[in-house]
Amino acid sequence: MDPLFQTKTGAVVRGALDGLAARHRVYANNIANLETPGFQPSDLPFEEQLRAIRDELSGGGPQALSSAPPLSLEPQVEKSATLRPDGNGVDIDREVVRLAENSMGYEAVAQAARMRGEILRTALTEGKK
Amino acid sequence: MLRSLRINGSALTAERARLDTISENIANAETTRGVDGKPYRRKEVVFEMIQDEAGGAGGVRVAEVIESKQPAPRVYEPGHPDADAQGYLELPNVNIVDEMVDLTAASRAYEANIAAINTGKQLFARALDLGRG
Repeated sequence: MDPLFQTKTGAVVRGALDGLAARHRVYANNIANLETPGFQPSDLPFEEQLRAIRDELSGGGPQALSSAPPLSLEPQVEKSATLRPDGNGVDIDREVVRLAENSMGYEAVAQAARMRGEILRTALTEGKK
Repeated sequence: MLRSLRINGSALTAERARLDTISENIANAETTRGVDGKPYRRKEVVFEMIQDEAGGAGGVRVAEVIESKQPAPRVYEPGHPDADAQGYLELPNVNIVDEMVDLTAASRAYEANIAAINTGKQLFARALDLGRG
C-alpha cells in the first residue's frame, strides 16, 4: 500500500476516495440506463460506514489500523418516486446534479490528500527540493 | 474509475443506434412499398442493462430492434399503385411527432452521458495528481 495511506488519517482519506470513486461508477450506470425499460437507479451511501471506521480507528491503539475492516461498497437500488410508462425510474436532472456533487467531493478529498502528501514530503526532505 | 468511462460509452453507442432507428423511421414515413413489398413498419430499439463480469453494473446495450405493433393507418386512395383491391392504401405506422419526441430524449441522454464521461475523466486526472510531487 502507498505509504501515504499507511496512517489512520490516510486510511480514512483512502476510504473516502474509494467510496467516492465507486459511487461515481454507480451514478454513471444510472445515467447510462436513462432509457432502459424497468431500470431503477442505485446509490452508494458509504459515509456512515466510513464514520464508524474513523471512530474505531481514533478510539483504538496503533493495532487498530491493521484490524480495521474495509469499506463494503455495495450499491443499493432505490425506490423511485416517479416511474415512466416503460417502468424506468431515472430522474436525469437528479442524476446529473449528484454526479456533479460526487465529483466535487472527490476533487476536494483528492486535493486535501495531495496537500497532506506534500506536507509529509516536505517534512521528510527537511524542506529541500 | 476507468470502467465508468466504458459504462457511459456503452450508452453513447446505444443512443446512437436509437438515433439511427429514428432517422430510418422518419426517412420511411411515407414508404408504402418496402423491400418485402409491404408498407414500412416503425422500428424501435429495446435497451437492457449490461452486467459486468463481477455481476455489477456494466452499462447498457441494445437488446433487439423490434417492429412497432402500433396499428397502421389506412386511407382511401384507389389511384395509388400500392392500393389494394378495395382502393385502400396502408401507410407506415410512423408518427413524426412521436419520432421527434424520441429524438429529443435520445439527444438528451447522449449529452448526459458525455457529461458523465467528462466528469469521469476529470476524476481520473485528479487521482493521477495524487502521485505527483
